[in-house]
Parts: sequence; C-alpha cells; structure tokens
Amino acid sequence: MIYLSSTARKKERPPPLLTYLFALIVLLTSSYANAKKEALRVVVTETYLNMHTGPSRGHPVFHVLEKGEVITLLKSKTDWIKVETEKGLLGWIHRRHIDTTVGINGELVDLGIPDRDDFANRQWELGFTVGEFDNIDSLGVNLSWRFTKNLAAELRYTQATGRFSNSKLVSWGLVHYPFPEWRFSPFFTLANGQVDISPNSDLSQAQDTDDNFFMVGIGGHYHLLHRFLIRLEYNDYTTLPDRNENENIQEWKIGFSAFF
Amino acid sequence: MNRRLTMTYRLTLALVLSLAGCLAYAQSDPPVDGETDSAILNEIITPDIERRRIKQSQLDSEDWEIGIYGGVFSIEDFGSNSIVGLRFAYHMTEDFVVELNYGVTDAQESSIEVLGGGIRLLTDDQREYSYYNVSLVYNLFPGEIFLGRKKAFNSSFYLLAGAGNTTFNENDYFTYTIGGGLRFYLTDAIALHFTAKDHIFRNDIIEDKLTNNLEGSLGLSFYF
Repeated sequence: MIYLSSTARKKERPPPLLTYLFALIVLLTSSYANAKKEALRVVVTETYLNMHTGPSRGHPVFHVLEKGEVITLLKSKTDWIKVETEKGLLGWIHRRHIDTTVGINGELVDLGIPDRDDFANRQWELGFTVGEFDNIDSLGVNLSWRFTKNLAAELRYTQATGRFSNSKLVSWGLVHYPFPEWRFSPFFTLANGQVDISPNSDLSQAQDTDDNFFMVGIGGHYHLLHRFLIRLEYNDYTTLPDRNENENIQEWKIGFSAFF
Repeated sequence: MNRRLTMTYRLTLALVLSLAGCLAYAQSDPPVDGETDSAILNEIITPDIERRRIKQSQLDSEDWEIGIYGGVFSIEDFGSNSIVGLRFAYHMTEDFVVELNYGVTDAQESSIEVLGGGIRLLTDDQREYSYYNVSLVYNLFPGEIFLGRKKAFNSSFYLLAGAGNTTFNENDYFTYTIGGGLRFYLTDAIALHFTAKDHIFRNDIIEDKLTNNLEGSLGLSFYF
C-alpha cells in the first residue's frame, strides 16, 4: 500500500492522558493522606519472631522480637506486614506469624493468607484470559459478581486479532457454579453479546460486520493459592447475522483471576 | 424398665413445668413492644464474651500500583520516537505481579521514505502507534541498593512476559511482549522503574515478517 503525497505534514497531538493521570495521582495521594487509621497494636505470642529489613524472604533478618513484646502494625505489602516496635524499630514480618499474635485488648488477629474458605466464598472475580477465537489468537478480560451461592453475573471483553480479520466481542451473561466450594469448581455459562468483525486493512477488502450472538460455555475454576485462580473454558457462539444462515464459532480460553 | 419410665415421666414433667413457667412469665409481664422484647432476650441470651477481631480491612495495604513512564520506542523500519505510557499493576505475592500497560507514540519515516523522494508508505493517521498489554512480572532478584553507609533502598530486578494488542497502520496486531527491568523503591509507596521491552508482532507494511519493536523507559509509580 504505497501511495504518493506531495505534502509532508506533521500533526501535533495533545497528551490528555498525562493530565488525567496527574489528576488521579493528586486525588489518590490526598485521599491516602486523609485515611489515617487507628494504630493496630498486637502482642507477640510466639517464642520469637524474625523482623526482616524488607518485604521479601530474601531480605535479611536484623532483629528478633520476643514473646510478650508489643508491636504496631503499620501496613501490608503482599504477604508482608510492616511493624514498629515500642523502641521505634521498623521492619517486616510475614503474615503467617502475625496470625499468631493477639491484639492488645485480647482481639483475635485475622490477617492470615486467603485460603480455600475464601475461595469458596468468593464474590468478585477479576481476570484476564488468552486463547483462540475461531482459530485466531485472542485476549480477554472478565469481571464477575456472584450474587447467590451458585449464580454469578459476568461481563467480558475479548479481542481476537488475526491476519485477515479483527474481532471485538462484548458479552454479558450468567454463570452457574454447581459446586462453588470444590477446589476444581466447574461452571456453565449462558451469555449474549455483540461481535464486531473488521477486516485486516492490509489484506482483505471485506465489509465490517456487527452481529449479535448467543453463547453457551463450559469451564472450570481451579484455586491456585492465596486469592488466585486459574480458569479454563470452552465456548460455543451462535452469531445471528442479518444474512440468512447462522454461524457457529468455537472458542477456548485459559485465564488467570484474582477473587475478592 | 420401670426406672426408664420414671425418668421419662420426670423429664416430661420438667419440660411441661418449664414451658408453663415461660408462658406464665410471658403472660404476667407482657412486653410493651417488640423492641423491649428483643432487649430482654438479648440480655438473657447474648454472652458477654464477644471479642473484637483485627481484620485485613483495618490495615493499609500497598498492593496496587499506578504509574507513568516515558522513554524511547523504536518501531522496526520506522525509526525511533519518544513514548509515554501508563502502568497499572497488582502485586499478588512477593514474587509475582500482574501489570497492565498502555502506551502511545508516532512512527517516523522509514528509509524508503527518506531516500525515495516523495514516496509515502503511511499517512499521518496510520503513523499513530499505540499498544496495550497485560504481563506477568516475576521478581527475579529482590534486594537492596545501598547509598553510602546509612541509606538502603529496596529494589527488585524483574522479568516480564505478556500479550496484548498494537494499533498501527490503522490496524490491530496481536502482540507478544517480553522484557525486564529494575524497580527502585524511593519509599514504600513510591518507586522508579527502569524497563526494557520487546514488542513482537507480525505485519506486512514493508514485507510480511515478524517485527521486533524495542522500548526503553523510565517510570514513576505510586502504591496504594
């Protein structure tokens, strides 16, 4: 696609992105500054607790807390919690050790690592998927909300970018989990949505199509660890084009999600 | 047999009596409304040993990251140009991070256009280049960087791999991303990123081939 042009123009684009981002950062930092929470003080009940210099297992242990010492919990970063001792020493302790402390007034400390129970009670799921839609590489995001024990509402966006055509799919539907508490928990999906298929401008001269579709699917969640799961699914689309016959498209996906 | 009968009799009697007692109590002192009723019940039933819990929601977590980055982006055959981008990430564990990126740049002129005297491969609109991708980041070497005798900054050298989409030549291309970088924590909540990435996708603007598009950037991130 070579074409000749007599004028070599240069267009300036304003960067509105940066402006938005700056506003967002200002907003976040100001709300962060306002949200001063009350000090969480706990008593060490294990014989000793290792304090690391940073939030990872590789950071060296520089101090050992003794049983009965009072520490203040400041913040968490993944599985590590920043603490301050009575003498003002700052360091990091792993979450699983914090769970064996008690509050200064005898409160139970519930800061453990999310486990199977949290998985069984998952309400929100946010994740992304890779796969093939009609034999074309696809990438998708999905958000679902489980509103009863067995039913969830789900919203998805998928983009399949091939050499000859690009498809963009938006779908909304219901997901049924017959056994949400199983570690491998199967699900069934019923959804509808819209697919916008546009030809790859390099190669084909086909028309843009914008069709509604109906989708049925089967899949499974597998609780990996913490608040993460792997999802695997196979879907069958029936598009309802303006033309006479329906079209069937198959899709499979593997994905990774966080649940809350 | 006899003893069992007596026991059953006694138990039944006790049950009937206590029930009668309850009824008599309820009749002799009827509650004024539902509220006092429940208040009385609460006083009798609720044990006074309820312990508060310290929960995750009471503790500030800094697992989410938002940031901007800027640097140089080299589009294969179309020169290098500056790039600006957005980074949004979730730190899942101390080892793994999921990251979303969005970046924009413009393609320069290719050698054919520079030397070809008036030949134009792409229009100005087609030169607009943007990408988004989702990557899995692995913190390969977490550690500390020392500045003199007293200062130590947390840091992490990481590798990343991901997939996404590139919009270029007014067309979409499925793109794989690989790369690595260094995250340098100025404080717990602010970090600098030095990142190098390769965006790989197939296109046929000049010829049908897999193109490597290299990006080098410096970024600033905030944790919340």
